[in-house]
Amino acid sequence: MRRLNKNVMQLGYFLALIICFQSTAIYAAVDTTLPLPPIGETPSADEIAKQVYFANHFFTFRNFSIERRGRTMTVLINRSSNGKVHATALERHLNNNYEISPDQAIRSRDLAIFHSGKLRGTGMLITEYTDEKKNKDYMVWLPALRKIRRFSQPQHDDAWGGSAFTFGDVTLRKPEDETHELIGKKKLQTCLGTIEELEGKHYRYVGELPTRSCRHIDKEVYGLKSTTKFKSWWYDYRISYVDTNSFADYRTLYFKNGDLIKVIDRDWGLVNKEDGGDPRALFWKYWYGLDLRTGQESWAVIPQKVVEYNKIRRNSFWTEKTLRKIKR
Amino acid sequence: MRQTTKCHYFFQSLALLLCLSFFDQLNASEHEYLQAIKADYEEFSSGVFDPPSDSPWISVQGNSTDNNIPSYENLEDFSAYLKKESPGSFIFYNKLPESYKSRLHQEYLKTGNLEEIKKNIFKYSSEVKKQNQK
Repeated sequence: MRRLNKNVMQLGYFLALIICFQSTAIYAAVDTTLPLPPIGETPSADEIAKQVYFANHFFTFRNFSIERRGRTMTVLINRSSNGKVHATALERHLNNNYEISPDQAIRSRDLAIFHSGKLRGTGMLITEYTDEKKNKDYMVWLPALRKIRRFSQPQHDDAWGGSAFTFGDVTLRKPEDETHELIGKKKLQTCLGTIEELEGKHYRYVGELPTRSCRHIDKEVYGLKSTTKFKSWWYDYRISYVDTNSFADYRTLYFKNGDLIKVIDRDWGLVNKEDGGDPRALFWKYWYGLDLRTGQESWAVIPQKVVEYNKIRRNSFWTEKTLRKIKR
Repeated sequence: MRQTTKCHYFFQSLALLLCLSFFDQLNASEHEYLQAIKADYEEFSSGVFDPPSDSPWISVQGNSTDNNIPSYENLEDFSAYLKKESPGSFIFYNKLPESYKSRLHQEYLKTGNLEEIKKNIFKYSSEVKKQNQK
């Protein structure tokens, strides 16, 4: 019985971890064809929310991967309020290369593979469908059983991986869940957060952890206020700092009864350096989360050398077949 | 025997004190971060940015010291940062014409990829060298 409970807990844990690398979903009815707003015009709050969703889903790329390069991988570090630190290494491959038509059932597929800790050898394939009413499909490769199991979509307010993020924060939030309001435009004035005690230190899987990102200071951002439509929800509204040019959401502040309860910071880099390229061709460099109710911190660090995009890969890579090939 | 017990208590208290001071430090740094982001947020409603003094989370433009964060918006700050992070590449960077320096600066602002910047420094250095030979 105890063993069964442990297994169930582990399953919940890895489900959560994989989803963390999906995206900050705001609007679901957005696809790869979404154009940039006209230059010189201030977009509406709803339009900004759509653009943020577009950037977070890497819709500018046919496919986007956070690979494994030797021993270098993406690492997710969780630091609890008592100072205990846990880390998990993983790789992830997202495929947006599906035709956009009413006949096409699949919108995107996401494959994640874990390489450290108790989750080592575990893989997950997440399928998102074009039908908005249809839940995402979660298929998990369990290395101990050498079998694939299907899971239902988790709850929005479930915390994932013992981290500072919820499932809603990272992927499940839908457009109709919030109303959006533009509260202003200003320059970002502060550096993005990190787990301070680990800044710049040598760390397994990533070589050296980054220092706080201050590159975005003085960049112009929109203040986007998104109020939840859910009753008795864990937050009342959240404020996102969205780049006026690239639509990268650098920071999100969550409020409940007027008090700040949580912060999520995201450091972004631009893939397409050439002039005239899509400014939304972005990738995450790191994510940082601080939950003020629990004192918990989370930091997902993605080394640049593991980032790959528009790789020539068949869609068959994003199938159960790949899951079955994962070595422990 | 009694002495051993006393010694044990002494070390226990010492460890406790160390732990407490460690957590105090952590709370202080977390506090600084929160103060900075709250000041940043309040600017939306007040229109004025009133930052806490000497915050390690806030850039001081054109006046970067070891305690302050360079904004990178300024080419001088970027050069200082490069000198600190990669002194070897900085030697080549420093010899480049201003136009190349600002190009590298803009690239860094966009990508944040220092490794790529280092590669481009050498690329531009050889470009400049070829131009000079002509």
